[in-house]
Amino acid sequence: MKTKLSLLKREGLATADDLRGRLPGEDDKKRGPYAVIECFEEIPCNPCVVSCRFNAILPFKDINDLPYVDFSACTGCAVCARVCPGLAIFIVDESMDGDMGTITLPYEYLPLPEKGWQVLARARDGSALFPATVVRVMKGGKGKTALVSLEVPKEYLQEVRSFTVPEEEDSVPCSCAELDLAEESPTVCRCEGVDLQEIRDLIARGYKTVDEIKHRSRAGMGPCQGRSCRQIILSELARDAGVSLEEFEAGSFRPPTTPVSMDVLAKGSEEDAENS
Amino acid sequence: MISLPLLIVGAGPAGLCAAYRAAEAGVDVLILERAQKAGGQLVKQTHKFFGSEKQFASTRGIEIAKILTNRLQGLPGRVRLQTDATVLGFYEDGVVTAQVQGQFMKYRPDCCIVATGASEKTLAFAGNDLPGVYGAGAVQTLMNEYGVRPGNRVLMIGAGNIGLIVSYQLLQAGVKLAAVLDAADEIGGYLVHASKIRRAGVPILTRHTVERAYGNEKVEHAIIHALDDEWKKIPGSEQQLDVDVICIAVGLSPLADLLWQAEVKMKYIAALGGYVPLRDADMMTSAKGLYIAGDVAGIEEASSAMVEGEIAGIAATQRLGFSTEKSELLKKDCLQQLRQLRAGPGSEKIRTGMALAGGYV
Repeated sequence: MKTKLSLLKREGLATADDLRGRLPGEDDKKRGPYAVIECFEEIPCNPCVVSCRFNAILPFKDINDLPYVDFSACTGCAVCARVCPGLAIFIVDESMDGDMGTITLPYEYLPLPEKGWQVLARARDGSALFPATVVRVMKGGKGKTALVSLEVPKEYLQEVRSFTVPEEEDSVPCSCAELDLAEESPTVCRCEGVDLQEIRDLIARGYKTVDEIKHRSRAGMGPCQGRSCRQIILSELARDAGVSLEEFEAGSFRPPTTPVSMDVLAKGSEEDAENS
Repeated sequence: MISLPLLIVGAGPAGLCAAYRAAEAGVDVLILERAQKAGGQLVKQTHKFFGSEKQFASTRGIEIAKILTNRLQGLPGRVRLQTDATVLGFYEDGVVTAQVQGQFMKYRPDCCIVATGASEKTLAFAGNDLPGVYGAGAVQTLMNEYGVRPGNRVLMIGAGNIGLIVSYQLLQAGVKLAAVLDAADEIGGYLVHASKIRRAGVPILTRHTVERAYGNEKVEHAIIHALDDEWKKIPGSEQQLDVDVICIAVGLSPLADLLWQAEVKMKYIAALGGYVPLRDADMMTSAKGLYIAGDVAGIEEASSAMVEGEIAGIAATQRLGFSTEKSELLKKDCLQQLRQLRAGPGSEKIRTGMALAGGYV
């Protein structure tokens, strides 16, 4: 493999490297709650910066810019966390005395927990960390995402990014005691029941266009009119010919786009009926 | 035969926005929509959208569908939104045929905007005809439109935005996910979507594919394996997953049947999802008065589809002689929005594709 891709690009998992520059210094941590924005990809999106009343997210030159928090201005008010479409903003509060702090997480699952519930705190990769108590719930609605605050030990404030409400594990029953794992050819055209082997056999016999294969096998002549199979047949043809898809004819497209009953056609349009 | 100034095919985000801009300038519009209600794929989108305020950022897709539909009332031009109406054919003399609520209809529009969207790509693997193998669109329809869970434990094929979003929606519906696979070596969708399902404990396996599905008359297991740098199976990497649903989200193809029939100039552009019509900056195809907008013009986000719809709507309006002083300014603003939406590093593919398709600068 060329360059090793980051865990973030392969699995969606942020690491300490990604988080560099996203966390406040010690002074700002003591001042009060603050937002941690785990948005690492330049995509066209700006609700966070538009929603902040304290100008605590550095202004964008372009809608694709990444959000960076000015921790000296951030009050941890959570307005940005409630509008972020990516659910990528978390509010951390470690300003209180003692060993415990709070982490506030956007939450879009049911049931929405209530204050006092015990939930299972989880890390960025979903692994279970420890039971935690819900200390605050801000309900969702009117375009705002629900937020749930958990009390967690301060050293875990940058670890906890999810939680689940404990539930019973259910298992999927399996009825296939004896499996038939004989060679089986994948289906290409579901409408007309044509499989990949049939298509490959036709190509080997000299049928070299989508239309020829359609005429011989009926692939593409069913209700969906080739919307599923045409692309697979084209790929097979292009591979056989040793050319890229760009150079290959897509085949013909004729009305109607979908099957029409003879009844509808026979009646014709109202006006035709009047003229006859 | 019904003559009319502007026919729009498809009431998704692009079609609805095109209708809005045209009717706002005084053009009477007929929209033909195959489904029973307007909104296209927006009606299945329970997540908040990205973008800026102009593209309804932070609003859930289903809410955007309502906004776009409701604002078509009380405009200078009259908008007739006809649901249960499938366009069947485009003919060389400019006639468009359709089946409208069980009746065969013929139209002759002065201008037409095709906003038919896309269809899902499929994957050929053994057992892919077993009940339990779904396209991601079907899973969304079952869950988000009909309130039906597709199964109990799902294998998702595809880590693009659709695969990631549908995975998250499945989790929200209380369905377990065994894994999300993608043959590519990195996640194709937005990383914030990936992080959401990752922190719910769902593994994302890049460089993996599904080998086969099996079970007693329905999906009960899947065998997956890892891929090497040449996309070949790594021997011994097979894993069996116990799942009752395999959901396929391996990309979309522009749904351009009608444009092929209209014999406009088409080009295969992989970056845009397949064959797309060539177009100018007004979103007009090689056929005069025939415009395109949204996924049929190249697979992209709903935000760009809306803006492209506005451009096509304004351009058709100008062609019909209804343009106001505002038209040219509005169009310029839309082009500026498109440029911004496509300016990020993640949009490089789109920029390359759009350059090949013409028009957009």
